[in-house]
Amino acid sequence: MNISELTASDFEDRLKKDGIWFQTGIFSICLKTTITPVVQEVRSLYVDYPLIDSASFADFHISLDHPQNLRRWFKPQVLFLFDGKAPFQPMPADQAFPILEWGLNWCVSTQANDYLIIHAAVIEKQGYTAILPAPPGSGKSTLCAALVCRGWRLLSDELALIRMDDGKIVPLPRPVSLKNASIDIIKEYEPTSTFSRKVTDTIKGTVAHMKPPTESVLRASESAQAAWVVFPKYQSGETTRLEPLSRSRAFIKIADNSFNYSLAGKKGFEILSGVINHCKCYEFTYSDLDDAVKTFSMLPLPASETSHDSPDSPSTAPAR
Amino acid sequence: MNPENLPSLVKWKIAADVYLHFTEWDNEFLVYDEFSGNTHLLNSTAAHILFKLKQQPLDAVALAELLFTADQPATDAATLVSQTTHILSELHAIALIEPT
Repeated sequence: MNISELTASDFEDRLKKDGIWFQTGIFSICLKTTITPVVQEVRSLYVDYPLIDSASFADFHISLDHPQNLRRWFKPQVLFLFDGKAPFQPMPADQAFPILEWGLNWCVSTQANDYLIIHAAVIEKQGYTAILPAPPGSGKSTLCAALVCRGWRLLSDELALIRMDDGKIVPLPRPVSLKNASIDIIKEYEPTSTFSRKVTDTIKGTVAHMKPPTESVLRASESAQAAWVVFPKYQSGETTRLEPLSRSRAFIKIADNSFNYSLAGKKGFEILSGVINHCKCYEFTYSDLDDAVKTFSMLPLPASETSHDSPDSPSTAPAR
Repeated sequence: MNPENLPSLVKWKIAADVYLHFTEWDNEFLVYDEFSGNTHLLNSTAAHILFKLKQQPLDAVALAELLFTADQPATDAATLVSQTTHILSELHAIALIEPT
C-alpha cells in the first residue's frame, strides 16, 4: 500500500496524530506535522512512496511543528524535530517543506555511516549508472532533473549512498531540490512535472521541489553499480563539453565531496577505489539542457579495468 | 628542519607512524595513509620513491640512480639528484617520509 491509496482526510489525520510511516529507499520514516501546507505538499510529492506498518521500526522519527513561543502569533515559525530533538533553529513557517527536505538530508548524512556518502546526484539508464558529484551551485540538480524527465531513473538528487560491503549504490529517490532560475527552466523543460510551490527568501534563495518519477520510487530497492563519474558544471553560454578526467583525480574530487570519507578510514579508500575502478570519469560543462541530455545518452560504456600494482608494491599490502 | 637544505646524502625512510595503501591508474598513484587518514595523489616518480624507501632507507643519490634509467632523456646527474631531492622534500612535507 502506498500513500496514494490513503484518502486526503485519512492522510491528514494520520500526519497530524500518529504520523505517516513510509519507506524512502532503505530508510523508514515516521513523519508528523500539524502544519497544513506541509500536509498537502508531502501528499503531492510523496504520493508514490510505500507505507509501512506503524508498529514497525522507523529509522527517523521526524516532526514539524510550530515552536511554542510568542512569535507564533505574529510571525509563525517551524521547528524540525529529529527523535524529539531540534538540530536547527526555528525557521519561518512558510519554509516548512524545504526544511523537511533539508532536515531529512541531514538525518541521512549524519546517521547513515554504514555507507560512504557523497554529495552527488545519481541516475541510471539501461543498467548503467552515473554519479554526478558537485558542490552547491554547480547545476547538478538542474541537470539531474532534466535527465530524469527524459527517462533516466533517479537514485538520488543529493546523496549518493555507496554500500560499504560491495560498493553498490543504494537508491534514495526523493524530491529533486531546485533553486532560483532552475525552477522555471525545468518547469518549461518538462511541463508535466509536479512541483511543490516556490518558497522565497530561504538561505538558498527561492526553492521548489520536483516530484520524483513514480518508476524511480517503485524501483527504490534496486541497487546499482556506477559506470560513470561525471562532475557537472553549468556555465551560461558555454558549449557542451565532456572532458575525460583521470580516475585518480576523480577520486580526490569525490573524496572532497564526501560527507564521511575521512570517517570511513581505510575502508572508505578501498570502497571508493573499487567504485572508480569500474567507471569512466569526466568533467562536464553545459548550458543547454537538450545538448546535455544528448551527451549523456552517448556516454561511452566503461570497460572494467583492474587496478594494477607496481611490481614492487602490491596495493593491498601496506607500506610502513 | 628545512628538507631542501638537507645534503643529498641524508638517508630517508618511510615515516614511523604511517601505514600506506596504494592504488594506481594510468601511472597516477593514490596513497592512503591509515595513520593520518590523508589521501595523496602522487606521480609515478614520487610513488616509486616510496616503494624503494619501503624496502630500505636510501639517500637522494641512490634513489636517483635507481629511478632514472637509461631509457629516459639524458639529463645530468646533478639535475636528477636535484629533482629527487625536491620530491623527497615534498614527501617529507606531507609526513610520509623522514630522515633516518
